[in-house]
Amino acid sequence: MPRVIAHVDMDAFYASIEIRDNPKLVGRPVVVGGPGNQRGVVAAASYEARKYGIRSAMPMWRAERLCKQLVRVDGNMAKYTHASRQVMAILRSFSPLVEPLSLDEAFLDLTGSELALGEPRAVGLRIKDEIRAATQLTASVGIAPVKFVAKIASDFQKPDGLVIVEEHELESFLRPLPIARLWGVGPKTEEALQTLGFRTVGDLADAEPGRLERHFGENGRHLAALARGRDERDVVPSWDAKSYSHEQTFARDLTDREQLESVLLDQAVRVARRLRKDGVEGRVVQLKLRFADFHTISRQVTLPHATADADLIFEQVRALFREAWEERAIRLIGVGVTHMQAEGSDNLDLFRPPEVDSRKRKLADVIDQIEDRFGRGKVTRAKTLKVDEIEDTGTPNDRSFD
Amino acid sequence: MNFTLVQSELYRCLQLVSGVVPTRTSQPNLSSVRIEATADGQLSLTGTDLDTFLVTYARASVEEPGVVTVPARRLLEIVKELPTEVVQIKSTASGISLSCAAGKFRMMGPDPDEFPSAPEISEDRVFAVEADTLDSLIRKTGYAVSTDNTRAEMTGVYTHVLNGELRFVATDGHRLARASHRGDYPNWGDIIIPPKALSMLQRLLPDAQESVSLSTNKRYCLFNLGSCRLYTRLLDGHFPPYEDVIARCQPDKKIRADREQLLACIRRVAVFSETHNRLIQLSLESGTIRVSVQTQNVGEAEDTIPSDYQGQPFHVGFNATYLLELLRTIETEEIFLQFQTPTSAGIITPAVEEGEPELLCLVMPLRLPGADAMTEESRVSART
Repeated sequence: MPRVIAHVDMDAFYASIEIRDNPKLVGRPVVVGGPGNQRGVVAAASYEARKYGIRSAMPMWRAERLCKQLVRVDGNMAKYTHASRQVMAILRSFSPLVEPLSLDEAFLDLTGSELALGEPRAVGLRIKDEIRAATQLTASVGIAPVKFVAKIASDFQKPDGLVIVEEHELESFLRPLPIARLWGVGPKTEEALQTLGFRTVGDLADAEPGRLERHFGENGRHLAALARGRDERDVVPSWDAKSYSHEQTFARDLTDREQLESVLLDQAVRVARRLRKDGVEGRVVQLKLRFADFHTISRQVTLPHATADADLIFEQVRALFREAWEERAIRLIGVGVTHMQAEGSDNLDLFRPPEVDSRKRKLADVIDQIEDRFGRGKVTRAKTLKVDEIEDTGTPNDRSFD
Repeated sequence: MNFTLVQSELYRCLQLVSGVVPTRTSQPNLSSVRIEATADGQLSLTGTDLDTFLVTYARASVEEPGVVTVPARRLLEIVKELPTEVVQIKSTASGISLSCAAGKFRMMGPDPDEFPSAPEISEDRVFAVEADTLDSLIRKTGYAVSTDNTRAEMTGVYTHVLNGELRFVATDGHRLARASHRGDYPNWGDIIIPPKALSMLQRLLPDAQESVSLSTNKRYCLFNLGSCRLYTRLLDGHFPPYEDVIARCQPDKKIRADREQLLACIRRVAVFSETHNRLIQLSLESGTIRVSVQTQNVGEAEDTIPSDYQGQPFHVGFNATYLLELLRTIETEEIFLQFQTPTSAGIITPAVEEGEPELLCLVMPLRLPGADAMTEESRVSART
């Protein structure tokens, strides 16, 4: 059965949000980004601005030179994150298999949902409608049996586009495209392919087998497959991660309880933040301890509710720590959360009205947004400040325990 | 000590007592059964895990009264394999000797003086309740207790008397069951019966005499069932204010449905539900209840039963297991289902024409996929 994969890409996301919130900007060339005299860069450009050749990542001074009437707006990450959450929540209502690529684009796997949701075109329209209703923003949607084709298709009729590529249309859709549209073809590869006489995806598809491989090795074989519309990559939903953890090895072993517990708090905060970012919650909280003699233990506790709440994770891991520690010198300590599920899939509670959690969650979201905008550590718990006094060996292991 | 009784009687008592004897314990005394024979021909067997004490009684011909303690499971294993004949048990210096037909067995046991004694509870002031009523009240609420030991008071069934009505209430925070028995019960204080005692009572009650009498010393409660006595430590803590939760429900949709039909319908559809939360969707539509589920990589199912609903379509998600468990405790042919919003508790009761039903079940919904998007949407429109 051919897969049905949608790529949803918000149109000029940051710029569109600014225009939405300030009607005076409608119809004017708008960019989001820092001022040109402070080495600002274009983070997003409205379609009007793009007409002047302004693109994302362009230095602001150049953009201002290209367009005299350009309106520059400082970015407001809090607002963009909020809108992004709204969009992702809508996408998750269509399929649990949602793979966000960034704040403003995501893949979703709709395979097998025809009965429930309808034909791809109808689903595409509904996704666009629901996004528009909730955010007053437009999205472009591409739907195809292959991930990268869905991504090309979403870009095809931007803005506010909807392009469906069916299995039998794959080749005719891809052939006329310039090779640069293929995934993994950057400026270098493009130049190399051009010198070999390849201009379109069709040229690549027709290439004598082996020729691409000779020139580009493994990547060449991959390009040939892509050019024929073959790409087996799956939509990888963020909750597919089996666990989230954060651990730290110290340059010198720690024996101070307060210090160790403030490391745990810092780690709990980091793990919780990643959970929220991925829209997941976990039911099991783990503690990992490596003693000075390298003896390593891990302890875990199962919670009655799945959580992405830093305080709750910390409270649990601290209890595990106090039980397991025995006042020994600690070389490594880590916090993990496993048994993931999509956020909000727990049963609602009779004694804890949803508003209570959502208020706490909103606070966490605001902190996340401030950190997204200004960097980590701008808002912090007084207790984690202690962590800065602790030397650690450098890179924390952001990996699972096992 | 020296007594005889038939194998079946001894086996019955031992089986019950083994129900409270802990399987693993650091105290050898606790894995034992205390056997006492008195001159008036009464045999009593006691088992305990310190939270629960069960004393069962049998008639025996007692040659010589006395007390012994022996490992409960080993004794049960032997007695189970004995022929259905008369068993003779005699105390020895360090345990018992047991003989039945041609079989002879000697068992070692700990000192009976070390065996913990049951709590002292005066039976001067008892609270009497019919065995059938007690059984039914436990059956209608026991399934809803919490298994979360961090909220210990919710792992048991809360029992109290209100306006002469005996009430049993249980909740795990996701659902709540309140079963009542009308009568002129005297005020008696409120207790929370722990889960082990509840399951023991369910095993004991079918064989109990007609009326069970309860007495308490605040920390423990004694259920005197005639043929046995069950002592249980009561759960500490304050049971959550369940009446507030019920009062907070302001359902504006009330429908009548056939209990068997709904049960069967949910059972069929739930096969396709997600294993971790068993989410199914109930949709009230004109004249029907539609039960449906779509689970990625599993499949989808939909089934409909008639109802008397008239109004806007209403969709709400539930854990199928919660609905099935509560529907099984309702005894009437028809039920009422009441709803307000997709995030507020649903109320399910037997369909009674007048007055408060004697059973009330609340169940909190699961969010339907996309419900978040809807609330976000309403938040946005509220702001603009």
